[in-house]
Amino acid sequence: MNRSLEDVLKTMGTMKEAEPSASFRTNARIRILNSVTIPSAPVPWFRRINMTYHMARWAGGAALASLIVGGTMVYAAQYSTPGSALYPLKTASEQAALKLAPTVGLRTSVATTVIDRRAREVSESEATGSKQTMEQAVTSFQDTVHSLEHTNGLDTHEIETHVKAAEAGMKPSLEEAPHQPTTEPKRDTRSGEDSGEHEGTRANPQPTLEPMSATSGGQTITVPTSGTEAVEGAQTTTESHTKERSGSDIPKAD
Amino acid sequence: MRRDSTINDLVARAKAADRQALGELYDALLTRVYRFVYFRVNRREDAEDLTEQVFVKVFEKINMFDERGIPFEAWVFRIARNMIIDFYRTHKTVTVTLDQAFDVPDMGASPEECAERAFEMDQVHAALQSLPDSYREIIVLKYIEEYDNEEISTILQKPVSHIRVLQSRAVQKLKDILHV
Repeated sequence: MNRSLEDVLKTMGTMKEAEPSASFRTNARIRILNSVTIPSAPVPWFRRINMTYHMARWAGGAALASLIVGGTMVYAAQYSTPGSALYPLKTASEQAALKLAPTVGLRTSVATTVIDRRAREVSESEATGSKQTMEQAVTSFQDTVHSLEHTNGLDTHEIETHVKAAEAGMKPSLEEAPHQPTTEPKRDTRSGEDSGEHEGTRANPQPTLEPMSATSGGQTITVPTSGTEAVEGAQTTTESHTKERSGSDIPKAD
Repeated sequence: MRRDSTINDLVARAKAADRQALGELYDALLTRVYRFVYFRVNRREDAEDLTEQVFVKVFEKINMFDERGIPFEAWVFRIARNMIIDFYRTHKTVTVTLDQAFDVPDMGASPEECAERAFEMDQVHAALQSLPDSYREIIVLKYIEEYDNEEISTILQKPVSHIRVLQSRAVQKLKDILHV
């Protein structure tokens, strides 16, 4: 072989035998084009919208403008006060944030922020001096609390603590409110029970401290319980208790 | 791969059932597809039948072709390749003719040179037909269709490294047959 194998192989493509004949070329073309039926391709919905370039540009512009206007409105709504036109947008965005928060911790954090906002609105409405605004703010606060009570996936203890703290800060406003919230009695009852328990504990803060005592040689030795010095009442109790015991309860050694 | 925007435009038009675009696609790809098929089946009649079937299938399935995937030409070659495999399955014995007359194009060579070239091609063609199918396939794609290794890798759906090894072995085997 005079030429290299690669060269021979490359020229083989030019062989007349390796090319379709003119008659085949023509006849096959006719046959193929006559036999083929192209099923219509599934067109995506957005391509079905028959829009010209300019229409698409206008539509895109309008979408962008509405996005900007919408975003600005939501942003502006964050500074709205109860009773204003944008206020429902503010509460709606809060509800959305609450729903979108993925974990209990985040949701609770959003909820406490919302409570703080409502409380701030009440205190700000007090400053305006308008009774109507104040009523609306208080109603909004109560509605929010009611809504949060019925929201699942929140740290209820933290929410309750937050609500109590907020309520404590705006006691006069709540008292001046035109109507008591529908949920208040329920929450009050529960918190009453709770507070009863807590109050009980707080009303009688003296721990039941039993002094460690032992009898030796007819004398009672009392070792004060550690930390009792810090609690005055507790110390008194311990002393009286010791006296009582040394006098009667503990039998004297013969 | 010839990433021709014209081909892509034609495909887009063909998808919308534009028959003229189908015809233009046929004209653009016929020779390459026919040659690929011919060197694999080695019989003009079989090559013509198979080529026609390949185009019918390509046009019927053209809506399934995704522009974001492989080039259209590679997609067509994949279909051709699968149809050749099916052909081999149904035609267990493929006739290998050793005494085919080749019409060598005149490239300004003397009659002696033409005769010499025809003889060489005859020899190589016969040797090519005695190669295992995977070797023949890669030789046709690499040296006759002049695709690069990446393009062949796309058509055969094998890694480039594998293509390189396969190609080297195929050439070596061909040389062994031809005693060169």
